[in-house]
Order: sequence, then C-alpha cells, then structure tokens
Amino acid sequence: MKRITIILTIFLLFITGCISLDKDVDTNLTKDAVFSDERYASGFLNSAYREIINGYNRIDNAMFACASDEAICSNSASSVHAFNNGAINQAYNPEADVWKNMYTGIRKTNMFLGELNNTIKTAGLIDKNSISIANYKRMKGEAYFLRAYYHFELAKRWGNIQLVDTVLTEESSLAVKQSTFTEAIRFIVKDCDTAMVYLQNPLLAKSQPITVDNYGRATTASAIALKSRALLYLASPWNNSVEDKKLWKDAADVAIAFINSVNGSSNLIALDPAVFSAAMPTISYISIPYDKEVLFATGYDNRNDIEINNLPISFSGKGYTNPTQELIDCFDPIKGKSIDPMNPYANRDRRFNLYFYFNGQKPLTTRTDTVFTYVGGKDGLGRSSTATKTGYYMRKFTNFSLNLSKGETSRRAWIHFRFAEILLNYCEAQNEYLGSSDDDIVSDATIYDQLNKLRTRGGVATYATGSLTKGKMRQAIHKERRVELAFEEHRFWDVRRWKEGTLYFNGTIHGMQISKNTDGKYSYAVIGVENRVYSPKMDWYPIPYTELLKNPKLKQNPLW
Amino acid sequence: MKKKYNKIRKYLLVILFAGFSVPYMVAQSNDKIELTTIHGTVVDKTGKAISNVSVSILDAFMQSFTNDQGNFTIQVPEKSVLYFSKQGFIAQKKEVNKQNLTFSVVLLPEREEFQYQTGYGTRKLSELTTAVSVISANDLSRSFVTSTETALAGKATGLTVLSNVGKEPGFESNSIYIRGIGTENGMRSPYILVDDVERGIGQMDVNEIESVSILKDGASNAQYGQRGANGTILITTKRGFIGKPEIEFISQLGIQKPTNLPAFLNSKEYVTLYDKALQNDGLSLPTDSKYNPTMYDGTQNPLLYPNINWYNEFLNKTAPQQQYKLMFRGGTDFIRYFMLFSYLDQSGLYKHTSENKGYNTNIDYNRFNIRTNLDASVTKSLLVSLDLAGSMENKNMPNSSAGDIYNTLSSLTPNAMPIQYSDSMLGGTSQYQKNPLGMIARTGNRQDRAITMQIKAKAVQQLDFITDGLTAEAALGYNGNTTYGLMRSRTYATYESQSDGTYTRYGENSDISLGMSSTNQGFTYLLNFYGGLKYNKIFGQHGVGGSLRYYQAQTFIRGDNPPYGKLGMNGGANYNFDKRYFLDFSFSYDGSDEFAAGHRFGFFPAVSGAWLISNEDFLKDNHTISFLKLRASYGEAGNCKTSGLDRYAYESHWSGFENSSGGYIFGTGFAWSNGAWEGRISNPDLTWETTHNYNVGVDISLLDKLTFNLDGFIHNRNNVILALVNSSPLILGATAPYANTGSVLNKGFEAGVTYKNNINDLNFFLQGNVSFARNKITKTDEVDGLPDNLKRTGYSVTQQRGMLATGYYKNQEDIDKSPYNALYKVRPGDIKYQDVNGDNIINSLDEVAIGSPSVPEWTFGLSAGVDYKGFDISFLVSAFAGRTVYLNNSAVWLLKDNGNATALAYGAWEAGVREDDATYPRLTTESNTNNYRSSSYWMKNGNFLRLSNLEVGYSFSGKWLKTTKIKELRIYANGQNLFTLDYLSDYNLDPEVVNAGITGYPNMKLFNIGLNVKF
Repeated sequence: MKRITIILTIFLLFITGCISLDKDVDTNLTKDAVFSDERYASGFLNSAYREIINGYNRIDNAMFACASDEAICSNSASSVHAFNNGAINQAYNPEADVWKNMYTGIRKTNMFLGELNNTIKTAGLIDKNSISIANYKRMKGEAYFLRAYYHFELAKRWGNIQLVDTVLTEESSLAVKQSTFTEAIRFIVKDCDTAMVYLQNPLLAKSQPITVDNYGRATTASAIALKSRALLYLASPWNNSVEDKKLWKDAADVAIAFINSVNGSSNLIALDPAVFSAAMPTISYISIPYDKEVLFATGYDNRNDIEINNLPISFSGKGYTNPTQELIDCFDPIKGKSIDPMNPYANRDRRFNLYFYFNGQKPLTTRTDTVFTYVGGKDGLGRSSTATKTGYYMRKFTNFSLNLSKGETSRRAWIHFRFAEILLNYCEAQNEYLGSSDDDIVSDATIYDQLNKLRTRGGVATYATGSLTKGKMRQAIHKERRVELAFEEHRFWDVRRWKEGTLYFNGTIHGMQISKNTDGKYSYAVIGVENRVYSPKMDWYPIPYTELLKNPKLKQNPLW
Repeated sequence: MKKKYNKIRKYLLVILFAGFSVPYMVAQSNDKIELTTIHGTVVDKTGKAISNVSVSILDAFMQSFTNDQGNFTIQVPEKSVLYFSKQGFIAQKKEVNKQNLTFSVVLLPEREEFQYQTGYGTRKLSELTTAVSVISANDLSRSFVTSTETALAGKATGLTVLSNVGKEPGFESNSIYIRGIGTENGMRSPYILVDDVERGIGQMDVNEIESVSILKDGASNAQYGQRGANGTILITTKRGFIGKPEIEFISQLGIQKPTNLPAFLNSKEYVTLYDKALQNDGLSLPTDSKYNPTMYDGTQNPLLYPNINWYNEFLNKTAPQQQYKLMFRGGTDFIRYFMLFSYLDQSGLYKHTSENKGYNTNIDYNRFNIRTNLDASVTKSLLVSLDLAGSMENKNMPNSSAGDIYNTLSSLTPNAMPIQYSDSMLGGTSQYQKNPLGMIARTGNRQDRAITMQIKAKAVQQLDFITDGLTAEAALGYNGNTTYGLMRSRTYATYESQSDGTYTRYGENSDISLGMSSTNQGFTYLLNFYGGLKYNKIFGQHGVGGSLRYYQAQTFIRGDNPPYGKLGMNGGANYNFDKRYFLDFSFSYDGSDEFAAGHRFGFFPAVSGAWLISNEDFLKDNHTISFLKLRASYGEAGNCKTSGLDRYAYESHWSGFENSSGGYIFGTGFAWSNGAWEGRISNPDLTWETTHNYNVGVDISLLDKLTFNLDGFIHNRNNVILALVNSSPLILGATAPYANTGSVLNKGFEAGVTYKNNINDLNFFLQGNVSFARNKITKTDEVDGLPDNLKRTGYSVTQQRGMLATGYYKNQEDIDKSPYNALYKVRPGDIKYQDVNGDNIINSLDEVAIGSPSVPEWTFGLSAGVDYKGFDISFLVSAFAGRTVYLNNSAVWLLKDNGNATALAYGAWEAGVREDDATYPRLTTESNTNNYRSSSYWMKNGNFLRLSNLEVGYSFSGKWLKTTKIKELRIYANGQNLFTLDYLSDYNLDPEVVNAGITGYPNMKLFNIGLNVKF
C-alpha cells in the first residue's frame, strides 16, 4: 500500500512539473522583430497603403457620384441617399468610417517614419547596399505622401481636423489639438514637399524608371498632384472668403510648373489619346497604364462588382447609378454639329458614349445588344426595382464585355489623380488669380491652351484666346471639370468648395422619360426624379458625435 | 478493540477547527480526571452487529470504535455523554452514570439522501451550505431529446436554457445561463464539467447522465477560480453497482413538425398589395402585366404568371426521427460497470432530395454514443476507474446552408418566377438568381462528421494507515473533438424569360465534381489532470472534512496555437457540529495564461454556513416540519475568458506575412506584396473579472412530502473585461485595447417546490420552480457627457434599445410640423417617433431603452405527473417572462426590398381608409429606413409559455411478465412543444427563436412513441 502512495506521489510531482502558464513558443511577432526584418519592415509600409479609398461602389454599393448631382442611385436601400435627403448629422454619416480609416493609415505612416530612424536603421536594413538605400529613400517618401493623402481626405470632409504626426497613445490622443482647414492644408503641403524629395520621379524616366511591379506606389507626380489639389481647395471660396489672390497664385504656380515639366520631359505623363481608341471601350475607360495619364491610383484588382452594380438591368447588372439629365446636358455637340432634340444622343462629345449607357445605344460595335431605356424597354423606367430612374446608366468604369454569369472579372484600379485634373486645376486657379472683375476679358493664352487640350480630345469646339470674360471662363472651366472628371468623386467637393451647394444640390434632380411612339420614333420628356435637400452647413461634415463625447476639447463644425 | 487517544489527531483538529471547538477543548484541558471504563454492543434494528461505529464523548477527544462483533470498550470521565455515530446511521447519545456502565445500543439507518455534487466532492442535501440545484437522471431521460442542453430546460431553479436557432438536425444551439447574465463581456455561459473534466454536453446522450448539479452561488463556484463566475454545471455520469446485471433497452420513434412557418400571401393578393405600395411611394405602376392582379386568376400561363407557395413546394409537413439505446449496469465487489450504446437518426424537411443518382440531399443527422464506466477495487483501499465515452456524428445536407435556403424561401414572392420552365431550366430573376430547387437538389451535397472521445482514468487510495478518513485521488482526463467535412459541389443556372421569348441566364450549370473536397477540418483536445487529498471524519458530534487539490488543464485547438493553459490549487474545509451547525470554507488559487505574469493568479475565497434547525431537539420529533435549514454564503469567483479570438490581450500583437492579403497589390500582376501590421493595442495590466456573491437560502420539507426551497442572491461583478471602443478616440488609429473597466450587479431569487404523495395506488407529484435574475450595468465603457437616453449604465446587459414610436404621420402637414425626420423622407402613414433629446431632429440620438432585456429575467418550470396501476401521465410546462424580442425579419417587414407579404399587410395604414385603427405602417416597396429600424414598434413582448413535454405511458405487470426475464416493460407516447402561449400570434412566429423558419431552420414540435424494457 505504501508503494502505491509513493507511486501516486511521484506521479503527482511529475505532472505538476509539466505545464507552466508561460508560452513556450512565441508565435507572435514583436514590434522589434517586424522592423528589423527586411520583409516585414517594407511590408509594413505596403500595408499602410491599405486605407487608401477605393471609389468603386463604396457607399453601401452606390457610387459616391450619387451623392452629388451627377447621378441618382436606383437602389432605395443604399445609405447614399442620406447625402441628398438631409439625413446626415453628427450621429449619422455613411462616410463615418473614413474618419477611422484615415487615422488608422496615419498611425501606420507615423509608425513607419518613426522606426525608419530607429529599429529599421539600427537593424542595418537601410545601409546594406545602394539598392536598399534607394528603396528606403523611396519608402520614406511614400510614407510622407500617404500621411498627406490621409490628412487631406480628412480635411476636405471635416475641415477642422486633428493633425497627427506621432504614434499616439490613448492618453496623448486626447491631447491632440484641433487645427483649422488652412493649418491642415499647410501641413499636407509640407508633407508633399518632403515626399517629393524622396520619391521616385517618373518625370526623370531615364535615371529612375518606375518598374512595372511598383505601379500603384506614390511618385513625385502623385505628391505634386496632391499638393496641387490641396492648394486649389485652400484657395477656394469655402475657405477663402476674403478672396486672397495669393492662394490662387500658389495653386496655379504648382500646377503650371508641373505641366511645363511634363511637356519638357520624356512624355511619360500626358493626356492619353488611347482613351478614345477603338479598342478602349472593350476594356474600360479606366484601364489606363499607370504611367500614362494616371498620377496616382489604387492597386490593380480583379473584380466584377462594378459591372454587377452598374450595368443596365438587361445585361445582368443592377443598374444602380443613374446619371442625371443635369450631367447629360453638360456634354456639348462635337465640333461643327448641334444637338437634335428628336435624336439628342447623336453627335455628342466623344466622352458621352464612354460615360453613359443611353437609349438606343449599341455599346459594342461587335455585338448586337442594344440598351433600351424607354418606358417599357428592357432597361426602361420602372422595369424592375433598380431599373434606371433617369433614363441613363453609368458606363464609365464598366466593362461591357464581361460575362457576369460566368463570374468573369477584369482588372481595375481606382484613379485618384490624373493629368487632366492638373490642367483644370491650373485653369481655375489662374483664372481666379487674374483679373479683378468677372467682366474682364481673360487674355492669358495658357488658360485657353490647357482647357482646349481636353476639349480637343473630346472632339468639341475649342475656345479662342480672348473670347471669354473671367465669369464666362469660370463657367467654362467648371463645366469642363464636370464633364471630364464625371463620376470620379470630384463634383461632390467642387460644388462644396465653390459654395454652390444650394444651387446644385438642392431641389429637384431630373431624368429623361423616353416614350416609344407607334411609328417607332421616340419622344423625350424631362421629368423630376428626386427632391434633394442642401444647406450651407453641409459644406463640411459634422464632427462625429462619439468623438466629441470622448474628447470634450474637440469643437463641432459651425452650424451643426 | 482499537483505542485511539491520538495526540496527532488532537493537534490536527486544533489547527483546523480552533475557531469552533475552543469551548469544548477548554473543558478537556483540565487533566487528571478519573476515568470509568464502559463496555457495550451496537446492533442494527435486526440485531445484527455494526462494526466501526464511533463511540465518543461529545467533544470527540476520547473515542473508540466497535469491532466486528459490535463490541466496544471506552474509558471516559464520569458524567459524560456518549455519542454513537456512523455514516449512514442516525447518531445517538447516551448518558454515562455509575449505575449504567454497560450499553446495548440500537442504531437506526439514516434516510437515504441525495448526494449532491458540489465542486470536487459530494455532499448530502442536509449538509449543503451553498446554493445548488439538481436534476436527476429520472427527470432527464424521459423525453426524446437529441441535445442534453435542451433536456435541462425548465427542470432546475436558477437555470435558463433557450434555443438560439431552430432545430436543424445536428445544429442545435442553446444559450445557457445560470442566474441570468452577470457580465457585459461576451463570455456569459457557465462552466461545464462532466465528471470533473471540462467539456461541452451537446453531443452527450441523456441516458449517460446520473445527475446534473447547477452551482449557483459564489461559495459553490469559488473552487472553480477563474471560470466559476458564470456558475458551473457539473454532470455526473452513471456508474456500476454491486448487484445483478441490469439490462435496459429503449426504443423511440417520432416525427418532427415545425412549430411555426410564415404564411405568405398568394400572387393575386401579393400583386394587389405591391401595387398599392408603389402608389404609396409615389411611383408609377409597372406596365408589365406581371403586376396586374387579374392575371393571377388561374387561367393564365403559370410559367408567365406563377403563383407559388414556396414553403409547400419545398418542405415536407413532417420528418421522422428515431433513437435506440442499450445499457448494461452491474458489478461485483471487485469490478463494477456501466455501458451505454445509443443511436439517433433525424431527418430534415426538404422535398426534391432524391433527384441525384448516388446521393440524397436531404438533411440527415445520425449519432452513435458509447460509454463505458468501469470501477475496479484493486485492493481493499484502492479504487481505480476508467471511463471511456465517445460520439460519432454524421450530418448529410445539401451543399447550401439551411440559412441560405430559408432566406430564399422567405424572400421569394409567389409570382417571382416559376420553379422551372423545363427540367433543365430553373426559374430565376435578376433579383432572385437563386432557386430553391437548385439549392436543394443541384448544388451537390455535404457531409460533416464529428467524433468526440473522452477518456478519464482515476485512482482513489484510502489512506487509513496514515489516518482514518483520509483519501488521495488523482485523475487524468482527455477530451478530443475531431470534425471533418466532405463536400461535392455542382452549380446550376437559372433563367428569366424575356418578353421577346428569349431567356436571360444567371449562373452556370456544372456537373458534380468526381472527388470530394474537404472542409471544416477541426481538431480540439483538452488534457486535464487533478490530484489531491480528501479527509472526512466524524468525531462524536463533530463532523470534519477537508480537501486540497491541484489541477491543470490545457486545451489544444487546431490552427489556434499555442494551447490554452490553466492551473491552480483549490480546496476547502468543512465542519459541522452535531449535524446542526455547518460551516464550510473553500478557496482556489487559480491561474490562466490569458494574463501577464503578475496578473495571472487569483485567490478566490468563500465561506458558507447552514443551520439545520430540524435537527435541533425542539424540532427533532416534529413530524410536520421534517426538515428545515437556513443557509448563507459569500464567495468570489472569476471569469478569465473574453473570447477565443483575443488571446494574450496583455501583449501587443504584430503580424507579418510574405505575399499575403495583408499586404497590397502593386504592379499589374495580381500578386500581394509582403505586409506587416500592428494588432490590437495591448493592456499589460489586464486581469480576470471577479464576482462577489452573496446568497441566503432556506430549505423546508413538510411531512416528508412537500419540500420547498428559496434562495436570494446578490452577485456583484467587477473588473468586467471590455474593449475601450467608446472611450478611445479614433485618432488613435489602432484597435482599442481591452481593460477591466465594467461592473454588473445581478440580483434575484429562486424558489422551488416539490410535492409527492400517494393515495393508495395513485401516486402523484408536482414540481415547480421559478427563477428571477435582474442584472444592471453599474459601470461600463461610457464617456461622461453621454446623454441619459443613450446611456447603458443602469440598464440590463441585454436591454433592447431603439426609437420610441408614437403613432403614424397623419398627413404631409403633420410631417411638416413635426420635428425634422433625418432618418428618411417620410410620407403619411410612416411611423412617427418621439424627439427624445428635444433637438427637433429625429435621428439615432433619440434612441432609448425599450421594454425588457432580450434574455428573460423570469424562468418558470412546472411539471406534474400521476401514475395509477401501471398507467402514468406527466407534463412539463416551461415559461419565460421579462423578455422583449425585436422583430425584423421578412415575415414582419413586408415588401421590403421587393420582399414578401403576409396578412399583416391588410392592417396597413391607408389614407382615408385605415388611419387611426391601422395595425401596420403604410406599405412601401422601398427600404424605408424610418419604418424598418429598431424601434418600440417592432419590440414585442417576448414572454411565452410552452408545453415542453406531455407524456402518457403504461408499465406492464401481471403474471405473464413474471414468466419472462423482463423486469420492467413500459410503453409510452409523448409530445414536445405541442402548445405555446405567447404574444406573437399575430406574426405567426416562434416566440423562442423569432427568426426560425425565416432566416434559418424552423423550431420543431415532436411526437414520439417509445418502449423501455429492463431485464
């Protein structure tokens, strides 16, 4: 019996020694391990790109264009309607996630920049060889660009944001002071300037080629484009009520310097004439190589949700994005022609056919499929719950040739900056800078030159130098911006910064009701489709209510 | 004859129980008292000698034992009182005086008492000082239940069992709460142990179980350290006994039938209402004749104008189930055994399941359970046990989930499409690209398998040679759970006919793949060891006991490394005086690897006491009050679990991967770059939650027929683990850390009553229980300045919240003069809400607490039964109250997203037709974000009462039975969930699982017949 006891005791002691509560294998990386490992240190910067906004169907399956007068969303369930019916308030905003995501991105960039002079450096990753030195130089530039980009996305939405340039703790995050929009843009411009010093420069193609596998990374051109837009927004009426012309000058100078440098370089960046090549519609408007007109875009993704959500309903799409008559009317006839009210979609700007699906359109010359949006047509008004409500569907970005029932996808990147915008930025800033009265004739040929580049590409009539007053020129530029950059998330901000929200975003939005007559011809009637609400306080989003509660020092934006 | 004036024992006693025995020892310290020698014999009432009876003076410092002939000799001071005691007998006192030096004592046996599982040991009901409720095997095994969890429902005080989902065979899931909810943390379920080893009980066969103890108060849970705070369920399995082998066979056959299925309208009704809804939305009617109600008069082509009741087309009215069990039980002095084999088979409801060659796509679930519990008395003092148990489950199903299929059935409108145009062309539309026939018959099939295996080896050594009453025990437990799924998939196309005679196709037809691909591979196992010492002894009027145990456990989960580890010590000491006053201490010192070193181990003490008044002299002979006891306890216990996903929340988490989706896609090739990122912010100070529990209780038994018990409790949980999402500014840019930031106060009571009696051959019983637990958040992750209506502090953890509906908008003028509605562009007939915060805007800042919590505060169980000359009838009713349910499924939110309609639509608001007496807001085809949101309009009283079980049986007796070897033979029929009383009858929803049958499998009624044979 004693033996048994002894055995039991030994057994007990044996088992007791077996486990301890400390992990024997550490499966978790530490911060030091991440930043002293080549793969992860650079991977951390790669991951910092993940918060970049991708505009495809991003508001509850709707395009952000539906939050402006570019389109209405036929999906009544989408929260995008909140932008148009006055439902946005400090407690509710479909874009609330942007606040969180941008600061997540900012933390990543600050973390990377901090470690660049710390663990990454002491681990010897940077100074290994000339390639690594160049790579980390580039990454430093990317981090500054991303930090500027993330702050800009916040600043244009909320105006008086908090600028963060360190890795915060819970305590220190309560101590960050709120800046003004002007301070934010100054911070962003400074980061862009820093980024430019370190980034790869596609304008110097011979010495620093951008390799194909680095497409999607920020370059000096990206930083200049961001700076250009930031300065334009800074100079705009929503922030420049005293009409400080110096601000416009700054914006114009940055844009024209960039345009001139492009013209003088190896022509890697330029307006891409291939946009209008015959082959283009078969892929997609947006499938432009990164190094042509595109200055900064998201990564290349395989997807078909753009088509599923936006193709006309008879083409297996849901047809959510319905361009408005207001947008349609901005498209001029091609040079030398006029618009026939009985056949309104013929002889339009070359961009028209690429931006819209409209009644009677054969999107592909190689196929017989025709879009019919007349009442009773297979894509027509009321045909299904998400059929077009305006008589049009959005074509831009969609790849008509995909077979959705087979689950086919195609490659797509969301373009944030392209060269055409820089031209428009210049025209606008320079026009506002020059002249004192709206009735002054604009005689600066550079403005006409840049604007006409886009109109020529679109095939519409150009403006002769000296033919427009400052006021008329402003209208021409605004319209050209509206046409060229349609659906690319410009209109929403442009109208706000011009302080024209009550003009464009308030009241009835229109569509076209097309009826097929017994003789086979169509008749057209403009109809009101949606009543919208806008008030000046909406120029800026209200600061999220929950954030105000957490940090009592944070002040709500005016009028909210 | 043994004489033991043992100094060691004296010291032991002094150390252990100094606090209570001091007065008695003082008397003893006066030495040099003259001793008298006493002789005597102890016998039972048949005159048979009883050995090993303790004979002592009352304070037990002089003690002797009877020998095998029942004789004893003891030297005691004159004028003492002798105390005769032995486990299982009623103790007796005899006075010693000069005239009386020889005794002949008759000891009467104690009433057999239920042995309660309390932590790591058993106690008799009369000795219990803590709040424990018990469900015995008889209460469990009667009904046809597939899940042990369900079998517990309604049968014990303090226990709430509610289904989470419908009863899809093999996918039953329940929420189990002991005394409601005590924490805001997601881990609210009790700690469950089967024979002292942690494991789930869903796959057990109820016939494996001997008893279930529900440990409710802090004192009974303190021993479970960091996992005891939510209460503990201890399951004891059946074991063998010494005696003739007993063989039992059980056979049960039954049918299942849905409790509730939604009743959607036919095409004509639907289209009429849909057109009305379009008008309400200010939309023009579609020109398509599909939207013309007159086309559905039955004369039109049904392919173009379908009228389909999708539920009828794809669901059978009933589905069969069966269960067979065989048990062996018996043993000898040397070895004892219990064995069980059981088989269960349950089918699903789908139609059209045998379309495919070689495989069926109906849901079918079968399970084998085996258990062998062996106990061997290797030596007189060493008992070795080996328990082996396992289950094998097979689930066959179509390769579309039940959720998917029921969502489709409930959202398809009757005129959406025909089921098929031809055998090869299933119907579909751009909105409904899925077809139920395709989902059930043409997506292939899936087979999920699961094997559980439990092994437990245990040795108990009596250490009488050290001191009497001391035992050592050690046990090793293993619990393995392997899951493995096989899947064969194919796809189907659906077609939509166009007016020009062509078809638009959605999806692709593809044949079934030859090979099966594996899915759902999982492997989890737990290894557990415990060992320790126990001591139990009666010294005269003093009963003492104690235990000390070391344990450790590790859980390994495939794909989730490293293993979860816990270890600790626990133990206790108990003392009773004369079986009248009881005092227990228990503690645990327990550590979990969820926390950083230094915050890892916790000490959880408990103290409890009881006064068994009925053992006092003044009540001893009172036959009316046969039992009366008061109890009180205080104890602490912890909760270390947050959720399985956030391990090691005390340290920072960093991830790095090569070419992973955590990176980014650069370049024109579709390749992920390397990526690395920071996880949740760490909190190195994170530690367990602690509950401080107070409990008082009383147990009464009258005439041995009526028993009654009542417990009241206050549980105060501190350091509740919550993520600081509401207080960390988002500019932090990282996931907010966990912290011990909350507290929850939970108060309530439980009462149970049992009445058993017989009138001649008529036996009857009645059992009732009621439990109430109301929790309140006293501190949570909330910032100052949060308006009162949005505060969660002060409300229950599962308090329902939403807008306060005040009626309907009467007309446009009403809308214009009401506060601005920022939720939606409202129209007359939409739901009007109160502007709670008075800012003249209706938005989500106007939400308030509505109704009751989603988890009921009241739980009732009532069962009763009668048997007379072989016939028996019994029932169990369970009920839940203090519960609010939120209705938001497609059977209630009509026409939403072009969805379905039920007869509720006929009560809809309509201008000029039905305004004040409307029972439903105006019909709309749009996703009306004003109407369809959480509000008091959709919050309904979730109280319900259910006839859980009704059973009628007959046990055969008579001479012919005696000629066979059959000892017992009983046939019976029972029904479960036959009848429900609730507040949702307008909605035709199951009150327990409101989404059952709509977003998932329905809840079921059962009808069974059964046969029990004992040999």
